[in-house]
Amino acid sequence: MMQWYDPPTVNEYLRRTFSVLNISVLVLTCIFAAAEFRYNWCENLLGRYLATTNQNRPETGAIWKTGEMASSAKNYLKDIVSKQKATRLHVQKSESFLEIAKGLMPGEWINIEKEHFKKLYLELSDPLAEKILNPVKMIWLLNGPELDRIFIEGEQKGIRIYFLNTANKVLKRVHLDMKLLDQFEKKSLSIQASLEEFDGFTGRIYKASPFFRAVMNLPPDMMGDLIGNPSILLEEKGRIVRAGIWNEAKEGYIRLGFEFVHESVHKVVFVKGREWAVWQLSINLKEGSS
Amino acid sequence: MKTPLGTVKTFQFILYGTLLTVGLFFLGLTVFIFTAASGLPKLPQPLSRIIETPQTKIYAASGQRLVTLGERESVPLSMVSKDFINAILAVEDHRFYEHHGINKLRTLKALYITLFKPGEIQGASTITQQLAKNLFFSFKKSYMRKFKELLVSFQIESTNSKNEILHAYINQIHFGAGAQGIEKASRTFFGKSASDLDLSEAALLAGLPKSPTAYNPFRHYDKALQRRKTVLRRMRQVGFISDKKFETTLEKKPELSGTKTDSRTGSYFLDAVIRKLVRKYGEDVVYHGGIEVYTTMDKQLQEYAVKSVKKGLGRLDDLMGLTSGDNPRPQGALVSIDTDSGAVKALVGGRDYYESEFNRAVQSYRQPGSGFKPFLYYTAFDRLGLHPASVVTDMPITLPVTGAPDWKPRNFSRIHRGDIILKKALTKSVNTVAARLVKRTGPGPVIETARLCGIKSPLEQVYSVALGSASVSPMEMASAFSTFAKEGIRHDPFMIWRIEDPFGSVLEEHIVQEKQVLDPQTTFQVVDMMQSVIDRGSGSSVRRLGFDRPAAGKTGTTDNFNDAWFTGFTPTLCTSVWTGFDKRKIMRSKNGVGITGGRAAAPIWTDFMANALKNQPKREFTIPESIRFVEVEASTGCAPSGGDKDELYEVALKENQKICQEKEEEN
Repeated sequence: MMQWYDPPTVNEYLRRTFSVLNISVLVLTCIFAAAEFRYNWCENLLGRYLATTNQNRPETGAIWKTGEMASSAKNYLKDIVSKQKATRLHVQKSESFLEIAKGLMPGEWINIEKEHFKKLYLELSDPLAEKILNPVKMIWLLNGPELDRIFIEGEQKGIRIYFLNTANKVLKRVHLDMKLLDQFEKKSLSIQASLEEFDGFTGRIYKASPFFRAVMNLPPDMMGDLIGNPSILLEEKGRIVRAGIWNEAKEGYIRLGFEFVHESVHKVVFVKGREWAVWQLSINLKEGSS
Repeated sequence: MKTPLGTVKTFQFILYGTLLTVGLFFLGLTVFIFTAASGLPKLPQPLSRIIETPQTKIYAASGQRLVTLGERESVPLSMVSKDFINAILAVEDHRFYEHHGINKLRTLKALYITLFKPGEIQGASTITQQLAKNLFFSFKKSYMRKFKELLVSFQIESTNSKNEILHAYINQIHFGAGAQGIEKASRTFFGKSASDLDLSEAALLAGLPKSPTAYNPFRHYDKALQRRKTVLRRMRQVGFISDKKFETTLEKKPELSGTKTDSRTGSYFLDAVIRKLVRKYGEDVVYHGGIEVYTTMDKQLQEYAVKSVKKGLGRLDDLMGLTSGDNPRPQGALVSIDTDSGAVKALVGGRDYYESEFNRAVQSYRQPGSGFKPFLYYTAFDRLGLHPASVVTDMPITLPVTGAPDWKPRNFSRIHRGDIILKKALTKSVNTVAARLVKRTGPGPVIETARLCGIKSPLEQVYSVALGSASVSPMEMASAFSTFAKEGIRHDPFMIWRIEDPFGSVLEEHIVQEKQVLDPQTTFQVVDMMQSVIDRGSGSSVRRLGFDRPAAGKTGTTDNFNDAWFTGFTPTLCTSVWTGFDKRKIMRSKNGVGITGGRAAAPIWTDFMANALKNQPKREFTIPESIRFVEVEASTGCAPSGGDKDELYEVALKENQKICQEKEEEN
């Protein structure tokens, strides 16, 4: 067994100090240090180790913060644009203004193709189309030189339609009330309005009493042709204050409007009358007034 | 005495002790490294991703780019001047291509200096370490931060080539004046691409990252040149340039382009736009969203506006006997609006943006004085059935004010003219007549008119509101007067036409909506009177300065000469100018005379409008169909009697209005 003991002499100390093992360790240490200075293996090793842990480390620091802000901005903008796309799609698919109004929230807006707008406008019943804009004026607006595009904006109670020129200036602004659109959609023929609001009645608005006096003067069979479905009028609440005759005939019929007042609210109810019966009524009214 | 054996034993103790200490140090270091490594930030891959933040661009109405926010234009190394690469390597890290993230000898030297030479500082950060610091760490000094920075630089070195690191570095360092990255810096300071930099310019730029503010060449050109000398010396030391090149380059003084001194926009207009954008979309979207903003700014008009305000305020300084060293000096603001749409064409919020960013055009609310009278006259015509030829007495008047002393408005000139027609009263800005009118209309209707025209600031229901006692901004005044210019049609003022996302989808756009808020005929009557203000009244300095286009306007000066206004318009452009001290102070000329809107603000207005409209044909105001013009005597409101005693005025009357009627009595 090897005996451990202090070296008794200096020579023994020196011999042990400069042993092969010690010198080898010293040389290796020096090589180790020199190699590090020469080849940077320590940094390399550490760098490579850190690269393996990269994926699990947190995304902190100035550059990631900037990245986060950029990404949050990107998402925010993406949201806006995708909402717009959805709105555009909805409008493109819509077959009525009511459908558009239902899908367009307040503050949301969209440009609508002129042709699409025309199609929707033509599908409106005459009184409603008239209430939006007189068809003749609409023809000029849609086919005149000024209109550049049509812009629709959602509102709390409906939609607003803007007709714009190339300088983004509003040529005409129209508000469509959701309730009104809904009424027409449900084929309800009454509109909260007064007769003057429809250009089609201009010059043919009469007080209720002389109007009905003239109606009573018609032959009984003609009365049935004048108001084919009187239940529409009978079901309406309030009293009739005025009546009007539309200025054009369509498919053998002429539209009649009856203005009701109920709890201070004016409402116009539309019915169709046979053309010849309405002509006769007009003659009676003229005779009555002369 | 120590025996040789004892000496050996001591040596042995020291040797083993040292070995043990070194061993323990390395063991501790290993543990430390693993601990620190767990909290290190993740590195983006590839490193170039760091430069990919989209930039928000703001354009003028013509489509010309005005500013880019978060701008960092990345360029490949091949597109950067070789001189710049050499210069930055020489001054920051000349052994960049040799080390692996740390320059050990330099670090040891720095460590030695830090430990043994207190007070001296020796930097040892390599380019990689600087990159690591800029990307991930705060600038708070701590040994832990330094150590983490070192570890990250090792990783950067291990996963990227030297050129990738250098590319990332030169494209993200700050050079000052809002320039981040070499391409932007090169364009900001020298107006050229980074590939075109010569040695003299490249060395100057390479010296800036050490302290972008202290060496900002726009502000401290000499210091920047001194720093450039250090850079060139280092380049010579490391062998990038010869002695001769060093000498010849030192003699060159690079010419700077532009005047932008820092990262601020340098424009009150853009500041106002950015503030609006941030309010609506938030800072993330504005600075990092890469949106494209098309403003209403007419770049040419904006330049004219800046020059006119500067020139006018310089003139005002002279008038007041102030020099550039005096503080405070009066400030000014100008807002110019297209009457046809409400688009703000030019906006200046002060004398010098870099002296004060406070935007007086939109953020400052000051009393408009007589500038408010057009709202009163419109109200009087509209509500009381008066017209420009109606006669009212110019005499001292006292109006009781509930809970306050009586209001006794005085005429600016301190003289009273007796009976005068309203056109003359507005032309000469007679306060007592205005007070008589507001007594009859009441302040409420006047406020209503102002609101209809677009004044949004709080307006107190007091008589003095008609004489401009409430505070409003120049933007409001320009917008409200624009309603007069446009025959009573109001447009809301706006500064942004359209905003798009980075892919061109429109996020919002301005739709120009018109609203007829005033009666066109009555409006014309007021406009005609305001033309008279310019032609022969308190704003006649406009004509004296040579402005000969049809124009209407009104001066405004507060009682104590704190504020001097002029707001006026042609049929196409409406401009409001305010001048005054930020902290309310009397504006007095060298001779001690108070300075009015006609002297302080009208010249600025005239200078701007003359330039702004010089390429446009002269346009007359549209006269409504039923308006007729009649000449009357200023004191009787009747047709000229033939004598030459009385002043004559041509008044605009509506069809049903008659001249020479009974004098309008007070109620």
